[in-house]
Amino acid sequence: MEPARTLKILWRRRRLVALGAAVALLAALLSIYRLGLFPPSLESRSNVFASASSQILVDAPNSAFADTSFDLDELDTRASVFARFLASPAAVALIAKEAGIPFEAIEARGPFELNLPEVQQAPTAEERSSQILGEGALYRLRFENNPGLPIVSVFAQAPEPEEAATLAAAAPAALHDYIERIQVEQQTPLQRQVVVRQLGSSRGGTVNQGANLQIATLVFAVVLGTWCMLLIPARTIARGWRGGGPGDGQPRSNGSAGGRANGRRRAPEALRADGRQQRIG
Amino acid sequence: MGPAALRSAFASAGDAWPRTHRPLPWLFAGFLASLFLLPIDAIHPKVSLPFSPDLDRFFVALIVGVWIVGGVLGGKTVVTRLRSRGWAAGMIAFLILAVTSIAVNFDRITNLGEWDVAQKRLAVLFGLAAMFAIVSLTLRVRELRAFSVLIVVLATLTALGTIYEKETGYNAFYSTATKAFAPVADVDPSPTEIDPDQNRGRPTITGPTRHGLSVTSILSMALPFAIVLAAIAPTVRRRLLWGAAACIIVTGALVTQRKSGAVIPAFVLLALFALRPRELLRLAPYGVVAVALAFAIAPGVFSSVQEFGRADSRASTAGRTSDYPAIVPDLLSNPLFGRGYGTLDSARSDTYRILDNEYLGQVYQVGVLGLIAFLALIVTPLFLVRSVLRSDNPLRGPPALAAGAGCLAFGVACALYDILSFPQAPYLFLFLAAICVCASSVEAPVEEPVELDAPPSATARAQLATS
Repeated sequence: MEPARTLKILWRRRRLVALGAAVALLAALLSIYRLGLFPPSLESRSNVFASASSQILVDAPNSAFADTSFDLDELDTRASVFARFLASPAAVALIAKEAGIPFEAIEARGPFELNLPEVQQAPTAEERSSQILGEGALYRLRFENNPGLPIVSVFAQAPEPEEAATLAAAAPAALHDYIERIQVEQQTPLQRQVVVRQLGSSRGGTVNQGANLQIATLVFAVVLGTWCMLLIPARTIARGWRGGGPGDGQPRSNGSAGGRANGRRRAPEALRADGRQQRIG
Repeated sequence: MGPAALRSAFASAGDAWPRTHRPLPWLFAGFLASLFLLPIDAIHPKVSLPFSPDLDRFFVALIVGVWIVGGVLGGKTVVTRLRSRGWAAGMIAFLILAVTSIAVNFDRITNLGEWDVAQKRLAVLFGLAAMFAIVSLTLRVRELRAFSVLIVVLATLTALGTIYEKETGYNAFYSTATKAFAPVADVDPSPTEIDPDQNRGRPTITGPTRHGLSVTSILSMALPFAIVLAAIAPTVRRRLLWGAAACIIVTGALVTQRKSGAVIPAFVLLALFALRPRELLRLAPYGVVAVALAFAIAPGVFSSVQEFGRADSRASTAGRTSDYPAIVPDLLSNPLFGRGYGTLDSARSDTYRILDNEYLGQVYQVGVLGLIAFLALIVTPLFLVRSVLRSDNPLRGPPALAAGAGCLAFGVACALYDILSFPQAPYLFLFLAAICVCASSVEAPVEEPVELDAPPSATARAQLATS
């Protein structure tokens, strides 16, 4: 059986296999740690993230929540406008200040037109360019709004669960303060004011707990597997390089008459065997 | 080893599917049957597993398990197969680059929450690689013709079911699977949609797959087997039989009303004619009669050719061309290793596009290096069988020619849609690639230990080609 023969060959070269395991271990470590040379350092990569969410209700001073006489259409429209505003740099700056996170570390996106055909939702080159620029941000915000509801959903992502919860809570707070400030400045009458309420408190949790172990295991297995696969032809190449190569007919210490040479000598015989098989069949 | 032992070895080597007790060839046959007759990606066994529990994963796990058990418990090998050097190079290179593309982008992949999707797709890729390796290591030259016949029979059944689906709107594959697997698995509803009003766009005819393009691909990849079997048939009756099967398969591909249903079979026919013009020209009169009969009996069969001019078809073409400029920013930001294998999640339509071209999808996900490896994966089987394509050896030549043309069909289909998103065609391609590996290998009785990497020599290849 070929797998058994492969294992035998690898066992004969177990020192090289062990060296391969060491190389694979190093590669696995590098996949989860960042190596610094000047000065020497080993810094963990940010492969584990937490997420949290919150919801913003766009309401009237006398809450429309429990009053059927209210027409929600205006609030729906307002919620849609707020969702778009929240993804703008001006709003992100307010959210960053509220959460105590650097503005440039936050990327905000949304809301997306979920009711459009996929072809129209797909981003153009220009949209992708700006998306790519924000992909490196450690803190991420995503806003969603159903056009039929006066609610904006906030999804936050951060390296730690507490940070994610803080970020998710900062968006409603920042929007509330901003709207209130405008209303004060414009002296908006109470009955025409919009009230921003956060529905419940935000909670965060780690999403991809085992990601580091998974990628490290994968890298280790692939590097070691590749190393082992390379060992087998390497042996033939090394033999050919030493000059005792194919067709020299010299006996081998391990009993095999040399792979390539053996293959060449035996091939016509194999063909005859194949022909005989046909006749037998 | 003396002459008696050699004879014993050959007798043992005569043990070939379907006259064999070896379990693996039977499992391969079962797997092929499931590819052609079951909606494998729509059947979800009712078990909770860390990976997506689709039916094909269970089949692959079973085959790998049986192969390992066979390797541990199997007796002494009496026949050794010397495969061409580099038979798995394309697959290995693609696997390594897929993992590398994920490893180098891992920070971003986890940051964007794409690790789960990438993990699942990587598991599927490893499953595909395992299937390819095991079929290549297990299949025997004497079994290639039997598997060729099986592929044609299964493709004919698929085509008949697809034609019936087009006529009645009843998807026999999904309905049967729903009834048969009801106690143990959930089956998604059939995606078939046939509107009596022809002006409301193309109907959705999918056969046992989730998309019309997928069923078109597997039928087109099976088509060369029917044509080659017809070409080498010793009697007119058999030639007519295989010719009829080829016509049914082509019809099955055309009724999906996809342009690919005409384009891929056309490429297959061209390739076969280019490689074996004399043999294939003998079939030309039969082909002319078949086309004339089809026009007389059911001119609607050729509706996929009319598709080229339809408005929705033009929109589909425009959608494909709009993909090219849209992915430029991603290509420029990750030119060598791409964004990471399996991260192109078409469900996130706000971020990613559905790229109707697998090559484009690969360069996007695994970069230029990954695309080269993916091309190598497709080209390697063709490169391997080049010495036996024109061989008159009935055990090697015809299966090699058909499998090579089938691999070419896969290569063409890759340019027409995101083929790796649907499991049937990739599995079938790797099975055909394994047939190519097997057809180009040399079998010999074991006299003494043979090096694993010993390739068939040039002399052997020459003799093989002329034998």
